This record gives sequence, C-alpha cells and structure tokens, in this order.
Amino acid sequence: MSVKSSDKGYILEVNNLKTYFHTESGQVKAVDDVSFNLRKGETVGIVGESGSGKSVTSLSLMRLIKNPPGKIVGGEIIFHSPTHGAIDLTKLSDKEMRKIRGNEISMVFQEPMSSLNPVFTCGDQVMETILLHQKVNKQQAKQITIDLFNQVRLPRPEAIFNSYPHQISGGQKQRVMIAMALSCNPSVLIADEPTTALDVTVQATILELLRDLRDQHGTSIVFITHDLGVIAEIADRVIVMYRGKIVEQGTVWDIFSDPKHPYTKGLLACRPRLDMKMRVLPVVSDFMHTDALGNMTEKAQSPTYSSVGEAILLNFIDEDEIKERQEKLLLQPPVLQVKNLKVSFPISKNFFGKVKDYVHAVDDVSFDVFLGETVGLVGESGCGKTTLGRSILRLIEPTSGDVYFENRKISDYTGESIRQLRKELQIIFQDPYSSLNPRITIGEAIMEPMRIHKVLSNDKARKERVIELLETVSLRADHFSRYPHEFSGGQRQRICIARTLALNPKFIICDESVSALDVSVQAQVLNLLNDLKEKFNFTYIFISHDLSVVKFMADRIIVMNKGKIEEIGYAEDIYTNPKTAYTQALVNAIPKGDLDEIRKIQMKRRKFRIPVAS
Amino acid sequence: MLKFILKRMAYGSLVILGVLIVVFFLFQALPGDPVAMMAGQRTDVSTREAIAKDFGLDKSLPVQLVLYMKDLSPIAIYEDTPENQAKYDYSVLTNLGDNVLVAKTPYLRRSFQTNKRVDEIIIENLEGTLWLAFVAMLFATGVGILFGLIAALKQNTFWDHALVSLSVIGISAPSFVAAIIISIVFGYYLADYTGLNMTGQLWVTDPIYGRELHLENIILPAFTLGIRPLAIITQLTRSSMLDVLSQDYIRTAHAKGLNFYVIVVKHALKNALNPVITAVSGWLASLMAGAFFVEVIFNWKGLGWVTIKSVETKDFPVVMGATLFVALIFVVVNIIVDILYAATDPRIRLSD
Amino acid sequence: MKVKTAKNTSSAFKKKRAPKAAFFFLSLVGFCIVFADLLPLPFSPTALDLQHIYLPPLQTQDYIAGKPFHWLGTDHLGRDVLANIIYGCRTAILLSLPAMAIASALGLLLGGIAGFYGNKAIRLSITHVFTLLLTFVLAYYYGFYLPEYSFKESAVDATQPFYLKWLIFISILTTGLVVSKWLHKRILLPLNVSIPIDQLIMKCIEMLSSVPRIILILCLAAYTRPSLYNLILITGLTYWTEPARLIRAELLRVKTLNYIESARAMGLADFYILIRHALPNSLSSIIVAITFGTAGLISLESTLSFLNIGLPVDLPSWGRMVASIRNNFSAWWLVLFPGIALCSTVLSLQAVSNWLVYKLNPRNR
Repeated sequence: MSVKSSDKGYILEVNNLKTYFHTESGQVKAVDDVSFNLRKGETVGIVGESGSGKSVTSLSLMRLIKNPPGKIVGGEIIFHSPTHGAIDLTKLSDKEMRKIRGNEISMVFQEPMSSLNPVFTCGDQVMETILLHQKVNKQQAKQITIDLFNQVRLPRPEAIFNSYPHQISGGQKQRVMIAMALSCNPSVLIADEPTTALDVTVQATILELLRDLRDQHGTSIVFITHDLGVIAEIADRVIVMYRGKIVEQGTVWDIFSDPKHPYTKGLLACRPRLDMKMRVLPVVSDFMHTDALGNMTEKAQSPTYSSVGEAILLNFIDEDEIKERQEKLLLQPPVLQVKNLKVSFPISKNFFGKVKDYVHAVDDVSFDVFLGETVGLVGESGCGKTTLGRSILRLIEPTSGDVYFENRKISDYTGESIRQLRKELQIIFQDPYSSLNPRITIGEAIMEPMRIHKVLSNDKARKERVIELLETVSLRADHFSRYPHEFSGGQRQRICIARTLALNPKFIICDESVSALDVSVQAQVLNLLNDLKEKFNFTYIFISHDLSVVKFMADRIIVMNKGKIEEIGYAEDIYTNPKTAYTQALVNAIPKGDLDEIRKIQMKRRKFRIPVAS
Repeated sequence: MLKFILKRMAYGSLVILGVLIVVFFLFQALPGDPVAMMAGQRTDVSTREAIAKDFGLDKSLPVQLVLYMKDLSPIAIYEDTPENQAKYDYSVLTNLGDNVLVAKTPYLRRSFQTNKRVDEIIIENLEGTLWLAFVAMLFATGVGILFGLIAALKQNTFWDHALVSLSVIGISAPSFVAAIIISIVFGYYLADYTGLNMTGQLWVTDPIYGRELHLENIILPAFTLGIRPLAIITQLTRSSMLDVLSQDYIRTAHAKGLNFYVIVVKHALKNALNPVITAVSGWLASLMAGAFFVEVIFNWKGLGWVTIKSVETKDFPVVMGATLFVALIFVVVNIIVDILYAATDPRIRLSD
Repeated sequence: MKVKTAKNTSSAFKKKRAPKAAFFFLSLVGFCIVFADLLPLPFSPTALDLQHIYLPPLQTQDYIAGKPFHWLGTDHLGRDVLANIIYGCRTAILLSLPAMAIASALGLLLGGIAGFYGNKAIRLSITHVFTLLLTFVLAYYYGFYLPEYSFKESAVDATQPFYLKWLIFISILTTGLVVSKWLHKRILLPLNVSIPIDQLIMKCIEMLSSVPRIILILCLAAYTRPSLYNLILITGLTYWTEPARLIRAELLRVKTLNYIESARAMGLADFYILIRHALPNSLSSIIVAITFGTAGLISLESTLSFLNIGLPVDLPSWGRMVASIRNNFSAWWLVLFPGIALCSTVLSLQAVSNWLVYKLNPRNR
C-alpha cells in the first residue's frame, strides 16, 4: 500500500468513508462519503442525532461493523501509527487489525452497564488487554491495572479489581472502561457517547477525567455525542453529521459563534437554555426544509429566523412577565396537595420472608400544585422522582401520607373511583416505543380509553374526535388505522399525548416524556405541550433528569435527592440562586455550551496544546 | 450463599412433602381393592384382615397418611416389638418407656408380587437407570453444545440450516418410534456390522463366566435417550450463543483486539452456557421419564423398566415407591442445579 | 445506530413452502378424520385377515383387480396397515384435541391468574376469608362426609343420586358467600390479607411436575378402565402445567411493558387489560404452548397404545401398529408408515404454529 506519510501532524485521516448496511428493506447508507482528520493531541467531537451515522463512523474506524449486514464499501482510514507508520485500516487483515485495536486505537462505549462482561471481575477484564498487547507477566499486569484504576480515580482500586461489574455503580463502570481503553497508551481514543447513560453530575466528573488524562498523555480523541453542550466542554473541533453525511465542521468556537449550515443553526437554537426563559423553542424546521429523499435546503425565502441569536431574541420572555405570572399563580387554589408522602420498597428479607430492610424511594415529601401551573420535578436517577409521580396516581401504592386532588383524598379511593380519577389525572410516560400496544392500531389505542370512560356517546363521534386530536398533535387523519411500529419516536410520543388528551384531563404528569427523543424532536414535543397548556389550561407536573428542559417548562421546580425534597422554588431562583449545595452542584454540572464557557475552556486548553497548528 | 442453600433445601423438602401427599391420595383414589390384589388366591377373611391391618387399610384416610409418613420417616417412634423390628429393620436410638426412638431406612412397604422390600427393588434397578441417564446426558450435552456452537458461528449457512432442521426432527420424533427404529436398524439389520444387540443389560449373568460387564449394550439405549435432549441443547446453545454474541461486552472484547476464538471460548461461552445448564438440568428429570420407554424397548433393567412392569401387574407399592423416588431425585437435582447456577453466575448471588 | 439483522426464519416464511406443505398435510389428516367412513377402503381397520399376516406392502403380484388388496401390507393379525393409518388419525386427534382443550383452558386460567395478579394484587378482607373457609368446611361436612356415613349406617340405598351431595354442597357455599358479603358490610373489618395466588399456583405446578408426568399417566391409565374418555380427562388434568407456566412467564414479561402501565393509568380495569392487552401480546407463546402440547399428546397417544396401556385394544392406532413389529423384526413397514404419519403430523403442527406466530406480528402483515 502506498500511503504518503503526513507532515501536517495528522494521526488519523478519513477520506470518503462509506459504510452501508444491507437490510431486508434495502440498502442503508449509514455513513455516506465522510472525510475528516484528527491531529495529534486533538479532540474532535462528532455530533448528530440518532440515525446520523456518528456511531457507525466510530465503529468503522475500529473496523467493528458487523458483517453482515454492514460493510465498509469505500474510502480509506489512514492511521499514522507510531510503530507501524502510516497504514490504511480498511485494508488491514483481521490479524493485523487486532494488533491495532485496544493497543494503538481503543474505544469507550456508551453503555457501561452492558459493555463489561458480567462473569469476569473488572480487574480481569482490564488485565486481559494488557496481557494481550504488552510483554508483561500477570503480576506486573495486575500492578499496571491497579495503577490505572488509581489514575481514573476509582476509590479502593484493589477492591474494585476483584469486583464483578454488577457490584459497582455506572460511573465506576465507565471509569473501568476508560482504564481498559487507556491501558496500552493508545494514540487514538474513540469515545462513543461515553457519558450519555450517566447522571449529569457523574458526566461532569467523567468529562473532567477525560480532559485531564488527555492533557497528561497527549491522547487524540474522537468524541461522539448527541449533546452539543458536552461537545463544547471537551472538543477542540466539531463535526456535525446528518443522515450519514458531514454537514459542517470547524473549531468549537466557530461552530458555536457562527454556524453556517441551517441544520447546525437549528440544532444550536433548539436546545432549551438555562440562562433565559423562552416562550417557544425554535426547531430545526425553522431553519431548513427537508424533502422526502432527505435532501435539505435552507429556507431561503422567508426563514422564520435568520440566525440563532435572532431565534433566541424573538422568543425571550422578560423578567417582568415572569414575575407577573408567578404572582398570578399563587392566587389560584392548590389543585393537588401532597402531604408527607412516603413510598418504601423492601430490599432484604430474613430467612422466613419477613422484611428486614426498606429502601425509602420517596421519603416524607409534601408540596402543593396550583391550578394552571407547571411544576418541574428534577433529580438524578434513583432520586425517587418517577416513584413520586406514579404514587400520586396510585400506580404504585404509597406506604403512608396523603394526596389530595381537588380537595378529595386520593388514598381513600378504591376500585371504580380510582379509575374515574385516572380520567382526570393523566400521565405521559418516558418511552414512546413501549407505551403503545404493538398489536392495536393507534386510532383504536386513542379511542379505547374514551370508550371505557364513556367520553362521547358513540364510536362515530369518538372517531371524529380522535381524528381531531391526531390533527391537534400534527399527525394526519389517515394515520388512524396504522400500527405503532410505523411511526418514529417523536410521532409516537405525540400519539401518546393525543391519547392522554382524549379523556379531557385536568392534570397531566409528564414522566421523562422527552428524554428518549432527539433534541430537535424534543423541542417540537415541548412546544406542543406548551401550546396544549395554553389551549386547555392544564396543570402539569413535569418530571425530568434534565434541568434545562425542566427550566424551560416549569414555573416552579422541585429538586429531589435520595427520596427527599432538596429545594422548592421558582425556576429562575433555582438556577440563579440555588440554596442547597446539592442544587448548586447539579446546576454547575450541566454543560452550558455558551460562548463565555467555551472561551474559558479553550483558554485553559491552550496551555496544554502549545504545539497545535491552528 | 449458605443462606441461599438452606432456603432452597427447606423449600425442596416442602415440595417433597407435598409430592408425598399428592402421591398418597392419588393412589388412594385409584379404583380397585388393594387387599384383593395382595391376597391373590387366598380369599379367606382372616388373611384379608391381616393384610388390611398390616397396611393400616382398616383405618381412616388421614390416619393412613400419617402411618405412611411414619413409615417413610428415617427417625420414628415405635412400639419395641419383634414384629416391628422385623418389619422396619431399625436400630434403636433411645428407649422411651414402652416405645423406642429408632433410626431406619425409609420403609416403602413390600411388593405385592415378590414380597421384597420396595426400597431394595429400587436400589437394585437404580444403577441401570443412572448409568443410562448419565451416558445419555453426557452424549447429549457434549454433542449438543458442539452442534449449537457450530450452528451459531456459521449462522445462515448450510451447516446452520442442516443442524437446525435435524434438531427440529429430533425434538418432534416420538421417543418410542426413535427407539424402535434405532434398535431394529442397528441391532438387527446392521447387527453384523455394528456388533450390537437389540436388547441387553449392563451386567449379564453368564452361567459359566458369572456376572459380566457389557458396556456395548449401553450404546444404543443411551443414544436413543440422548436424541431429544441433544436436539434441544443444540437449539438452546445456538440461540443463547447468538444472543450473547450480539451483546455489548462482546463488542468490547473485539475492541480490545482479542482473537475471535478467544472471544467465543472465554467471553461468550461462559455467558451462553448458563441458560443451557438450567435447561439441561430441567431435562434430567424428564430424561428419567423418557428412559421408561427406552428401558422397556431395549429391555434394559432400570427404574423405568421395573415401574412399567409393576404398572402392568398392578403392584402398587412398587409404583408408588418408584414415583416418590423419582420425584425426590427431581427435587434434589433442582436444588443442586440452582446452587450450581448461583455459583457460575455472580449476578445471582446477590439477588437472592 | 441499530440495524436489525434479518432473521433466518423470515425468508423461509416468505417463500411459504414449509407452512404450505404443513397445511396440506394437516388438511389431509382432517379429511381422513371426517370422511374415513366414506372412503372406499378395501378393509376395515379392525378386520382380521389371518391368511395374510405380515404381508409386505405393494405385493403387486398378488393384485387382482376388483378384489380387496392390502396396499401397505398387514400386521401380525392380518389387519390392513392403510386402513389403520387412516383411522389412526382419528384416534390421535380424538385424544389430543379435547385433552389439549381442557389442559389449555386450565393452564390459561391458572397461569393467567398467577402471572397477571401475582402475589399482591388479589386482596380479600379477613371477614371474607374467614367466613368462606368456615362455610367450605361446613359444606364439605354436610354435603359429602355426613351423607356417606349416615347412609352407610342406616343401610339405605347407598347409591343415592350424586347430584344431591353437590346440591347440598353448593347451596351451603352460596349461603356462606351471601353471609360473608353481609358481614363484610356490617362489621367492616379494615384488615385485608393479600392472597399469594401466584405462589399457590406455582407450588401446585412444581409438585405436579416433580412427579414425572409419564408415570402419573401410566399409573392412572393402568388403574382405570381403558377408555378414550378416561384418558382425555387424565391427560387434560395433567398437561395444564406446561401452558400455565409458559403463560405465567409470558405475562410476567408483558406486565413490565409500559403500555400495560399506561393502560392502567388510563383507568382501564385490570381484567380488561388482561384480556385486551396482556393476553393478545402473549398470544404467540400461547399458540406455541398449545400446538406443541397437541403434538406431545399425539405422541403420547401412540406411546400408550404401543405399550397397550389405557386405550381399548380395538381402537385403531399408529402406536398399536408399531407394537406388532416386536414379534417380527423384518416387518419394517409396520414402523415406517405409522412412523412417517406420526412424525409428519407433529412436524406440520410445529410448522403451522411457527407460521401463525410469524403472521401474528403486526410487522409482518
């Protein structure tokens, strides 16, 4: 192979890479003619939504695409290996490739929970890589592993060396994965959404760890994520992907301050912002138009917004207006009152099945919700926010405490009246994929609760209403007799919303309702929820792990931690003036992605990257 | 872990107790007069009464149940009489006035036909069945895992399709048809080439050479008995292997740069075999049931053979004893498997 | 990005060769069952032709037009193999279908209850439990126990109509039910106990399956009078554990799915959710359980008639035919033809069940 060696300091050059998948429904061009470079010591972020081909790109670099159905059909990946010189990875034999993998190029995956083999100890799995690629004996390998565990700041490295993956937390698992990836001092580290499955505070620590390790070792990183905020925290350069193609690349500063491509503009604008309150979130379609074939064109004539800044400016709600709304809300009667609610689950039983120990998922929680208000419920995984939402509806029975809805005590309800209550108190779940019965058409699914609760007199009227509802959530009447699997995630979530509306509820609990969606779709659904609120004067409890989403939606925010309420306050106060240390940490951990922040990070980074050619 | 084992054992003994009660009432509910069966030709009233008394048949059902359980209990209290001594063959632990606390082997009563102790009959025939089941399982597990691995690693090729089709036939072919065909084809038509017999025992008593071991006689019955588990293990291993191979941690192993065979043998197999182990153990008990037909057709002296013979002659203490014994084995095997399973999968240890 | 790999089964089903063949064979079997009596068969399945025993199939040199001819040979009593195979379908189906109907009804009910309600969902007030237990004991005592003894002692005709006992039993039970409702309203004991229905049913299943089913059936069949009716009852009452276990496991899986929870959140009643949402999504495993169970019962019928246990000797059956080879090992046709019939039926059932499962997925419509 004749590969010219690079004199520009490149470590990885990807030229016209094409990875296609052959499925039953035809060929899918997952990566379609992608070219980019990675310099020594540089961190390149690849950002894109689901289906953009960012993960397939990263797997192609490692040649980990499963064949069949996938195959690298064209292009070259030139790796300037410190030991082998410049080589084209696409042309290597499997045996040669194995010497590169885990040794000179290594990878950290998205799901730390499932990426470690459950039947081996963490130490064994890290040692395995070391023994494979380095000429050391077991004793030395163990020492190296423990040193690595120290480097990735795992507590009690010796204990974790002998632990099985299920015995340690998600963040710790990801540290083990990072230790494994760094064990042979690779020149390139590929991180495929390494923090997506983690809580925001854990994410912040992992990002910090990656930054420090990269600065110490001078490792080049390809960092893949869907979150522009995370990209701003770690990357030097950004590549934006959309449907298998690169739409824009440039330095972080350039992309964030002056995006050129309409998709990038849309992506930047549609993120809910922490620093200001917006009326409506701009969406990607405000900036560009996509035709049926997936070709995109800028909305040249009459674009809704011409730039990200304008989009934000036009939707900004000023402080006086917020104040006015806050004052008005408190004059309303409370529609829902939660008093000393407790939910406990048994965690261990003694020999005779008697419960020895409980975990208090919700521990003595009290708050009021006023009519027409949106209360945001935010907290990290396991803080009890989901359990709280479900116990209000009595989908989970509370252990003690009372919930009053319109001054009636919900815990006194039995059988039939609980079902009547659920007509007025609705919930929209997190996962739109599994919330719909796959064997029932969506029209039937929406009509069913109406029939049970005798909304409208006959099926004909109900059907008309369903079609009306489908149109309310921007779906079409002819979707009535389709099955759920024919819809995308965002569409399904809208179907779920339509089904919720069918019963004319007064009160809706949104349980992580947008967490499974891409940011651009998330913006659409959030806007829809806000529109409906205006229209029908709903009261919402909006549960999410994402403080910026909650802040966009909510008038007041409840911060939960370990089953207890940490803080209740107006959304603005929680952000600008957090009262407890926990809320403070939570707010600080969120990647801001604004220009000030990027400038600070880049200044700090400059110190370590003196030889970088810009 | 110890707590887990104890709990599992306590639970197992409860199941055995339940089975005992079920079996007892089942045989009570059967039509037919047991006294008449035992007495045979001797129909005079005194004989009948003596038999009825010996078996406690003159008492009410609950009392009979208690008596039966007392017979089975390894530790019990009896009146110290020579009759009881002869009947139960116990050894005295302590004297309690007129009564004695004794230890004994569970008394499963005596065969109507031969008047032999049922436990002796079971022990006599157990060896054959155990050998048969053991060899069949060994064959089925070894070959089945191999076939399953081949099918999974060569997914969607000729080998995969052929092995899957064969396993479908293996699962659906009724065991007695398979047994007959195999015994006739290999033991009769091809006997000259294979040198195997259609029927035979593990131990053949020759008038001149005495008791002789005939290992070749186990080949055909074990093969027949193994077909169905083999087919199921093949399919299970295949699907479980395919499932494991698509897991994230296999991708991690690839990303480490490990050799494909190291990944399969070290990382995938250990995870993939857990469901297979459970299934295999579940099959052990059914295997003993399947062994019944195989034993009859190959005339192989074992538990199944003796049970079917007793069913035909309505020798119900033997049937009852054998049923209880098989149930006991089933429960014990299940406990062992649960413990083994917990030992091989570190995730289970915490959850229970 | 996730790309679904093509399943190897789907391509075979698209060509539809296997299910087509299976449907054809099963309709042939169905035809034989319904019209066996109208077929122009040269011999009846029970007719003995002692001059032609162990006649090999297709002995064309003996064929004389117009005279009855043993196309597929005869067994040790000169019974016609062809006629027995055709009538054997009838016996096989006559046993397996009703038995499976009983078994799957029982299994669906018990497995469904165990899986859907679990250990905590069914709650009864102490008053109910207490009064019901009491009345059950009373009803049993006055309905069954007392009559037996009193009639024995008074030496009145002991063969009194059995429905009288049931009448007393049920009437006492209903009275108890009414009383418990009344008591519940008056006393209002706030104490509720949850019935661990799942555990109860699972323990039952574990006990039943600890005793190998084959022995159970063999014993029961050996002690009762050989009759199809008895055998159907016996097998039906012992085969329910497998479907029950499957349904339970499937429901436990389905229950955790979000759409069940969202159905509850919509205010739908539990039983409605079970019928409308949970069961249809367990349908594929129900179908698999039923078809495999039926296939197993067809094999069982042959096995029992092969061993000559539990079935009347004069009933034509595939297994009975196979059994006659044990007196003459060279009569290969006595294994081959019934064996083919048996295996094809079982395989066809499985192919049809696979096809149904494939078709029931809305993605494949």
